[in-house]
This record gives sequence, C-alpha cells and structure tokens, in this order.
Amino acid sequence: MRFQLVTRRPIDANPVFVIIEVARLVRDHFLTSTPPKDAARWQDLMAAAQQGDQRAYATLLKEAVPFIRVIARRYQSNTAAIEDIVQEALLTIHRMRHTYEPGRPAEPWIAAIAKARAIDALRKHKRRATVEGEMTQAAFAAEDGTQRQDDKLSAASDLNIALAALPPSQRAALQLLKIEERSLAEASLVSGQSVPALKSLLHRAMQTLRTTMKGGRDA
Amino acid sequence: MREDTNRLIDRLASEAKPVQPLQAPLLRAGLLLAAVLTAMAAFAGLNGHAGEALTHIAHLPYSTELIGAAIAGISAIVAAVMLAIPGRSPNWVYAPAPGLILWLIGGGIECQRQIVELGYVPATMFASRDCFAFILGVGLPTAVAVYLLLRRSLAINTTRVLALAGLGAALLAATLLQFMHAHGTNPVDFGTHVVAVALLTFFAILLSRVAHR
Repeated sequence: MRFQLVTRRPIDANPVFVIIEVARLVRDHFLTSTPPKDAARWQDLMAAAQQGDQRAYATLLKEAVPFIRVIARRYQSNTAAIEDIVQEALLTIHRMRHTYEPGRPAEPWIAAIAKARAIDALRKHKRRATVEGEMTQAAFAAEDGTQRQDDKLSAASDLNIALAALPPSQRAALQLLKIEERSLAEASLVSGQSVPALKSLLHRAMQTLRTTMKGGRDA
Repeated sequence: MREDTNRLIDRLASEAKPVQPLQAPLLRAGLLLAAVLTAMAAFAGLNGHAGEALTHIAHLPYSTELIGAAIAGISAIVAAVMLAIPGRSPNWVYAPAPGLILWLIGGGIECQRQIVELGYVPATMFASRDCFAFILGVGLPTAVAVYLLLRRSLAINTTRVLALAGLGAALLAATLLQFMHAHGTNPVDFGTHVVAVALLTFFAILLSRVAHR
C-alpha cells in the first residue's frame, strides 16, 4: 500500500518511514517559513549582483543553495534529482536575475524559482515514468503476441507430425470426413470402405491424434 | 547532474555582467494597457458607433456587461504581468474573477430580457460569426503584444501567465466590440463572445504547453 502525505512524493506505509517523513516535513517547514537571519543581506547581495559584482553574486548563490535544496527535497527524495533541481534553479536565477526588483525581499523571489524548477522536474519525472510504462506494456504485448504466434506454429507443426504418423487407412478416413467434410456415404464411395468401417477408422484416428498431441504437449 | 554545484556557481559568477532590472510590474502593465486602450479607443472612434454605444450606458445590463468585460480584461493583463515576476502572490490569478462575474451577469440578464420580453428566436447559430472573427482578430494581436512585453521575464507560471494574457486580450476585444455594434447582446451574440474568449484563452494555454514541453 502506498499513500501520500503533504508532499507530492509517495512514501511507503512503513511507520518508521512515516515518522522520518513527518519529521523532515516539520523541519523543512520551519526552515523555509522562517526567513534567513540575514534576509536584508540577500537583498543587498542581489542588488550588487545586478550591478555586476561577481563576488557578491557568488556569495548569494552559495548561501542560497541550502535554501533551494530544502525546497527541492519536498518534491524529490533522490539526491541526484535534488542536486539537478538546485542546479536548474541556479541557472534560472542567473538567466532571470534582471527580474529581481531591488528593495524587495530576495527570499520569495529565489523560493518561487526553486519551486517552479522542482515542479518542472516532477512533471518530467512523471512523464518519463508514463512513457516508460507505456513502452514496457507495448514490449510485453509484443512479446505476448510473438509467444502466441509461436504456440500456434508449434501446434500446427505437432498436428502435421501426428497426421503423418497415422496408418494410411485412418489418415484417409480423417481426410475425407473431417478435412474435406464429406458425408459418410460419399466417403464410403470414394474410399471403397463400408460406412461402419469408416466410423471405426475415424474414431481410432481421433484417439491416436489426441494421444499423440497430448503426449507432445506434456513432454 | 551536469557538474559540481560549487563549480557551477563559480562559472555563473564569473559570467555575471551588470543587468538592468525590469521596471516595476504595475508601471509596465500600466504602460501596455495605456497603449492598447488608446489604440482601441482610436479604432472605436474611427470605425465604430462609440456615440451610440454611450447612449446605452444608462441601460444597466448593457453597462454591467461592458464594464465587467473591461475590468476583467484589464485585471487579467495586470495579473499576467504580476505573476510573471517570481515571488509575487499566486492569488493574482483570481484578479479577473469579479470582472468576469459582472460580464457574465450583465450578458445573462440582457439575454434573458431578449428572450422573455422581446421573444427573441435565433435565426441561426452562426449569426454572430463577425463578432467571433472580431474578438479573435483584435484579441490575437493584443495577446501577442502582452507576450512580447512579458517574454523577458517568463520563466515561471508560464501557463497561468499566458492564459491570463489570452483571457485579458480577448476580454478587451469583447469590450471594444460593444462599441462596434452598439446594441445589447442577444443569446447567440453573447454565446459567441463567450466561446471566442474561451477559445483564445485555451489557445494561449495550449501554446504555453507546447512551447514549454
């Protein structure tokens, strides 16, 4: 059984995992809802970065990484995926740094970008999972179809071998009555056998075939 | 993972050049709306029946529909500009709701009056195809103008932003249309307006999905 808590990440219904997850959510909540102590510093660093101060920019990005990582962790549990989100967010911050309005808090601006990139990553992950699921199903269906085709070919081949192994009189009775679907009188005229003899030959041919085919399948 | 995060930061910092911060979003939205509304007013003055339309203003359902469409259109475009900026409240998405409600109530009352009091019977469902073409014809370039204004800041909330831009542009076109035919909308008219506005909004959503897939 799987269920979801507040996060979008499904977790196992193991009580230990649930406790760990809840603890992590509480920690994330308090970490992200409390503005950094030096929120005003981030504003200054961001404004300086817009003016081309590379040292201020590097300091801001380095200080923002743990903050972005906390947001990313709400959407992904895999360390590599979290780091991908962090890097995507840093690239977006770099590309969109002109959209920061000097004088406004930098924290919500960074948080919005980090959240958007985390959601994008989640969507991509879901899309990939769907495509992979569809491909797996298609592969199974193709394999199943091939298997069924193989079974049919194998059964036809077994039947041909069993027919060839029948005594000529039994094979002739089977050919006339079952394959060519002639009447007993007609078959009697064509084969020169009496009607009771044909019935008897057909019965024995069917029994032989059944035994041969069953034996082949059991083997 | 492409590269080490610390190395990425060093690379980004070394590439950082001075950038010009965008103007305040309200100022940008105001300038865009001023340009769009001026162009629309000039168009209505030259080609429409603005004088006749203004004589209907005292008729409550007509003015409710007109004012509702204008408020919703303007607030949708302001909301699109605000939402395109990271960190702004996501509640901006509801900004066009009051105007939209007014527009639907005004149009609904007028339709009801036309059916009950005037015994309106639609001749054909396509009687208002010119209105449809007008809303799309005016709304599409307006939506493109909003997109051009926003494209430099469009990194998050893309679908919402473009949906609001499409909705706002279509509603402003519907407002202008009221000055072109200068009469209360009958049910086929109003239905056509609603469908055209919905279609332009849907088209904008579709474009955002395709562009950011």
